[in-house]
Amino acid sequence: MTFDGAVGIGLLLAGSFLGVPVAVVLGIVLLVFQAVRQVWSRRGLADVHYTRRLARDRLEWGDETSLTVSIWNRRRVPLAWLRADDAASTGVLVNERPLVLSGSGDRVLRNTWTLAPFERVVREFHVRADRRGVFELGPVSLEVGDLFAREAASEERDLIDHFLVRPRTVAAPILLDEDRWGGEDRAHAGLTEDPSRFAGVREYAPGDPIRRIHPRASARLGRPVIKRFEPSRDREVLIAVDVQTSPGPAWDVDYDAEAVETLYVTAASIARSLLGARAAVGLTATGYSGVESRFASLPVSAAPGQTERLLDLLARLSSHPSAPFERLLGTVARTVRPGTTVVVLSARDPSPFIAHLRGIQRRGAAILVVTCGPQGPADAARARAAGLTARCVQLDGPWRTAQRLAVVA
Amino acid sequence: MTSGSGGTSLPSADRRRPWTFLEIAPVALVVVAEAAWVSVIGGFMQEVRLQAPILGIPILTAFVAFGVVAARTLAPRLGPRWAFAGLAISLAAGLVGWLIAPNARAALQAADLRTAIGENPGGWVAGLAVLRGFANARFPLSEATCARMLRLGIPGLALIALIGGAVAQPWRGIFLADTLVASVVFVACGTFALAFARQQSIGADVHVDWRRNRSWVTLLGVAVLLATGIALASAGVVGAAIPVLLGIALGPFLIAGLALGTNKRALRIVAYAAAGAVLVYIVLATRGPTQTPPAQAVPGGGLPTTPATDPAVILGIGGLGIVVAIVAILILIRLWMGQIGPVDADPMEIRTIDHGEAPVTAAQGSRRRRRPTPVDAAGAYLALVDEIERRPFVRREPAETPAEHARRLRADGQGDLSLDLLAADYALVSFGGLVLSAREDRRAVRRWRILRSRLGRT
Repeated sequence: MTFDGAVGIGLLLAGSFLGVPVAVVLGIVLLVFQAVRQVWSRRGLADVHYTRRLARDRLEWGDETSLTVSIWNRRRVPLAWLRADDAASTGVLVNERPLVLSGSGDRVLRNTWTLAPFERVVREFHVRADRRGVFELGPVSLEVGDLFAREAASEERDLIDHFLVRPRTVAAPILLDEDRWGGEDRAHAGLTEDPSRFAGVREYAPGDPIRRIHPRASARLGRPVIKRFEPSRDREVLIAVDVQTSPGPAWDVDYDAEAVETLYVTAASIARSLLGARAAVGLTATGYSGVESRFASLPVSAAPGQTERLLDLLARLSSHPSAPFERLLGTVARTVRPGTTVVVLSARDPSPFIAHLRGIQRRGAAILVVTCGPQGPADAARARAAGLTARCVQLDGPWRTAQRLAVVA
Repeated sequence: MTSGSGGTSLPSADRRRPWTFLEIAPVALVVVAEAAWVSVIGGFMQEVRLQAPILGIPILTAFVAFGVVAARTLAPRLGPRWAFAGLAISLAAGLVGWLIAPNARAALQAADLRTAIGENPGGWVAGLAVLRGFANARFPLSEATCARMLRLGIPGLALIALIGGAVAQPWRGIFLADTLVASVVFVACGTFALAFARQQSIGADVHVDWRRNRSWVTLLGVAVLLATGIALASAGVVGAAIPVLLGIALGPFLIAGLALGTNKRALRIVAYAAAGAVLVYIVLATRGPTQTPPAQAVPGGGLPTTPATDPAVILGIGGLGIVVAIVAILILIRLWMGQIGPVDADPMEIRTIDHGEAPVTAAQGSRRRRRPTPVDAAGAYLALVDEIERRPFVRREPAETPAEHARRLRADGQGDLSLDLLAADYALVSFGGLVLSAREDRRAVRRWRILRSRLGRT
């Protein structure tokens, strides 16, 4: 029994026995109010429909997407107020409304409405994030007020939306040499073709070599047609990202978030420039990416959508290392295809893993050490001193505002 | 666009911002509620002195409102000195309330201070009214202050009424009639004010405006009206019936309790209680009956003509005032909703009334249950679909064909081949235009009987 109910009964009894009608009236009023509250609370949030929809589930850093929140009171009675607290993970920003701290200390997007019978209200916000990562909206906690605007019922609905913010990319130089004839390399656009990968025929054009004429197809069609082949795809690049940005053991979870984000922006920019140059690019890193494996890995490919897959993986990567980088390089040494160029991207002194890089070289893969930390030039010099090809790249400002990536050493 | 504010105090510049109607309306209601309970205290003081009350709810409302305005305007300017100034204002208001009574002024002019102090003691509650105005000067209205007022006010008023009921007639009747009116005004205005304040507090800065939800305000008004109406109508009957019912039930319960759960400790407690009751009885019996008031104590020189001993009379007198007060509140709210200021709409939101697929009412449900037994395959299928319509897991979705629906239920383990066959029969008749044999119709009806009992439990 509630306090008001107890008081109501007490007043009713006292007023009845002492013959004071005022007390009886007040007692009955309290009890009637209490009954109305009980009836109101019993239905709770049964006929309240809450939906949340994100227009996109993948964003580039700096982009925003629309978030549509809809509430629908399907009752025949009005609701004095209804509050929805959408839990938001750290880093989520809503343009139109600041997030508030809920009672449990979570950051929430708070919406409150007063709803007439059968009223549906749709609100639109714009959501973004302050850094790359996987962000979560939900679950939603709903609270509803009774007729007297007192909290009547609350429940948590397991309504969760995720969205992924890819790292920022800036203009970056192509770190590898231009295509050469023959060998493992290839031209930009089909200049070098792979004769083992037949891709169909086309009409003969003046200037086409006679030896490329497809005799059987030409005879069948009654006009000369020329054989076509897929361009060669033998320049493969595997970017190995060293997530650890400071010297020391890998299990030391203390990390500089800005340095890690700079590293990811650098990795994304390099990957995008290589894919733009039609190289087949893969990625491996010592970071958690939401799967059981301690190493994040994307196989080398130049297929359509590889840029998006690669940026998605970079978005999912944790900011702290999942394992020593040397262990990752050991795995790479066992699995890398000969002829592949392994771009080792690190923001720290490469000395601890130079021996592993030599092991990869012995497998027939080329190594390019790219340093990007504050001691980048010195780190690159150390790699060169060890006989490895090395570059030092730097953003021309903080990662949030930088415009390009430049080779400085 | 909104800004996130928390419970932080406003800077002085914000205190001077124009008051919005949305904030003033709950304060106006709470001012009346405050005046109502203060009037009961004033009436009680007058009753104890065997005098008729002077300050009613309207005058005290003016005092409370003055307190609100004074606190809003003077407190920011005076700063720390406001405490002393507020005390002085309260005392001055009390003085004014006391001197409102002509007898007090006349006695003062005659330099009869002793008589003057004895006149209109209830007038001093004007100071209390101003003090309560100070408490409600915060805009928007504090939900906690309002809730505390109601939570303490209702039992407090009842307590005062119980104590005041012990005074002799005719003062008892006058006091109880006034208290009844004041109590219901207090409950009605306080409930409205608290509801608005709660909504305002919860929806602060997110465009929640009670004027937008007229149906809620109307329903709240109807609920308050019904509650007070029920209370007034049934108070006499309930008040008389409860002692009788409890008196009848007490004996059996006492015997049962003694038989079932008596131990030494319980017997000791019962003995102490009985001794206490006897002692109280002896004390009351030896004091004798309450003396009637002297005739000269009545203001105006005559005895009050309304005995007002009958609770029905008290309820009748109070009821009229209550109905008038509640109707006035509803009219005011209707005016406020329609005429004063535009509703601050959220630019990001779209509001529509969407009845969608209205929930099935009890009447519709009973009509469905009374549906006649189908006689053919198509009727059997339609009857089944109709019966499982309210069951979310087995009902046919709008985008499903009969065959898809049957296949889904079979895959989920809810249905079996008979539903597929029934759906096929329906499709043949409705979509294919075929006429089924009487034997197939009978089979379909049998399938309907089986399926309705199976799917109806899901």
